[in-house]
Amino acid sequence: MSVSAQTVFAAFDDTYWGVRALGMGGAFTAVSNDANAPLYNVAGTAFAAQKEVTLMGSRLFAGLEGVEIGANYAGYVHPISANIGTISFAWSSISTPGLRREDTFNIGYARVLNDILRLDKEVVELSAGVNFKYLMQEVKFGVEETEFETYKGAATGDIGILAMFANGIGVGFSSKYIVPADIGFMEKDEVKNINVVGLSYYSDELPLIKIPYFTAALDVMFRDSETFIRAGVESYILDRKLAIRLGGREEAFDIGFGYEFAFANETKLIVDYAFELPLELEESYGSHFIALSFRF
Amino acid sequence: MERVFKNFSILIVSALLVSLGLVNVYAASTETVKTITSEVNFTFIDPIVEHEQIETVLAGGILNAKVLANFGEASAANAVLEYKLDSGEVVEVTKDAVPNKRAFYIGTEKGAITKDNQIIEYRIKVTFATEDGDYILYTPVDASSETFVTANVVSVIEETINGSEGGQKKVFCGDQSKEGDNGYVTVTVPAGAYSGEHKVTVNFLDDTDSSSQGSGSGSTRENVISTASVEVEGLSEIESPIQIKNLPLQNETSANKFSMQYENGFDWETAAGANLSVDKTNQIYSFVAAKLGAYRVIESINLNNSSYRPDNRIVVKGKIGSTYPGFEFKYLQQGDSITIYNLKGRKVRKISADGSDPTIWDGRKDNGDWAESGTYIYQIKLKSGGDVISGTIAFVW
Repeated sequence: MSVSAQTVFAAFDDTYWGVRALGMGGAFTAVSNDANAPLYNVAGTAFAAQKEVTLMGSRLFAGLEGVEIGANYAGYVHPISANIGTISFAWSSISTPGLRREDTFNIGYARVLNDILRLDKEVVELSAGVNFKYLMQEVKFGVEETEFETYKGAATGDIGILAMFANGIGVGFSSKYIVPADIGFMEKDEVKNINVVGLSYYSDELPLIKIPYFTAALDVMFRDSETFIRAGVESYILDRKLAIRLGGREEAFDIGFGYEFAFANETKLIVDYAFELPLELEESYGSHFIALSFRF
Repeated sequence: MERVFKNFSILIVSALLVSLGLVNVYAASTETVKTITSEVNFTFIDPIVEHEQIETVLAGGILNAKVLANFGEASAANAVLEYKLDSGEVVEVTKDAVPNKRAFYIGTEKGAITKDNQIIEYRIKVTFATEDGDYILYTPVDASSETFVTANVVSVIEETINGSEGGQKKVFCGDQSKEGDNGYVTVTVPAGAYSGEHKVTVNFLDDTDSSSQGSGSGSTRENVISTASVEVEGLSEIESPIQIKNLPLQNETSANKFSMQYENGFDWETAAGANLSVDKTNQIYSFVAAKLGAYRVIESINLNNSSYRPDNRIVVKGKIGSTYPGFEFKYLQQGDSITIYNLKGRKVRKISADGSDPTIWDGRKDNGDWAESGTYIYQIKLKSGGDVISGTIAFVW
């Protein structure tokens, strides 16, 4: 939901990055621990146990004649060692053929800080990370705007912190676009800074209703003078092979699934799907997202 | 000293070009209006901007000036048409990135000049930067920054023509982008149309409207796009039809089907034998008036979902107001609506059509703030029902 509904952001908004996160409504700041993590909260990449690559394709707002929008995401996390930390790479793109696209190229680094801060791992694990990112906007100008370049790009960065407590509670903070990035063609147009506070709760079995491997997450996003809230849940069943996800925000409802195929040497292939139903747009069959991930 | 030298250089170059017959330079005292008939390769020594003054502008039409500029090695220049109507208020029309050493046009908005105006004063300013500094050049070239030139607004064409012998009169319409006779309204009276000399009047009437005869996809929309009366002073009938050529259309059209109606005193009826022709390139029309009285041009448009979509899918914030008013959604009627969403599917702006055409999204959100750069989805809902018409547009800063 939006606490104040007047400011509505568009360029390089915080969405459509990774199918697992989308299935949870985009509430991922305090959940991040895989190749979906770099753009939500880079600090979470420090908790990735294996190398992982994920590739996402999508079809947004299916059923709307005259609307052809695609969102793509690719992420890779590479844990090097506990002492050195984890590096990550990510690319996201949202494009409308013949009109406009925006791309984000991202390089991240994160590390668990327990050894430096002398924190007891049995109580909490704390990580921090930083992203360097390059934003690029491409517009297919017509004859009225021949004076403009087709591309406009700018560099910026993110920082993130994530604390995962032993009792299952996670607290995350991510500040995105911390350096002003001017993507304007004719006049200055700086991408707005986004600050997100995330809360999560994980239990191997949720008390009372006994939902297995359960995660609940809440993100509160602050951008300019506006506040947005996102929420989502996730549970794994069938011996942790099948994931079921639900989530939402004011303008959309999400549902997602994921299935893990395990191979030798702890390598895994994961297929994730998410469906998002827009609640304000009319006559859309919804947006479909699918991803293939490989852990090794 | 520099200014004196510049003016002197301009004088020498202008004299040279005139002597070579390359350019017809307008003289303020000349009664006939000349147009620059071809583009010329300039060999100016100094930066210069030239324009041939427009003497008459038809009310309801536009003043559209043909300008030739040489801004030397500067990579880009901007032109501004400054004009003031009787009220004295100065209006600016900006054209970015005008070409170097090639003709360009800069003009008023359609409808900016009305029958209430007697005169229009205008000038053209070209600005650019070079290594030597910033230049601001005006035309007329010898104008100070306070000098404007004057064009008379012609609200009624009145020409005295001998109907026994026949005759033809031309009036310049004020648009230099129209080549040759297309830029002149021509009234032709055949010999024997009436006896003796009489004043022939062509009067532009202000009753264009959107007299729709249908809405929604699959229907036909009929709009009155121009109305004018043809009168001969002292007469109620004529023996032979009077030909009117190249009248500017009061409303722009892109339709493919047109018809003409005549007011019979009680109602509008099909004007048989009017021989209407519409030139969409120049936005002018010609017809023959077999009877004296009021005539109007009707455009017929077959509407489908694409008819309502904006032609300009990309709008740059800084060009709103100068190059275009925003995204232009066409043919919407009162009761129709447009809703703009961002790529998360969140509503940014809802616009209710008020019947004026086109319906504009000016890039602002519901709270009046500018929308951010981005791709947006529009959804058009027609009061007549049918599908919601969706599409994508881009708004950038």
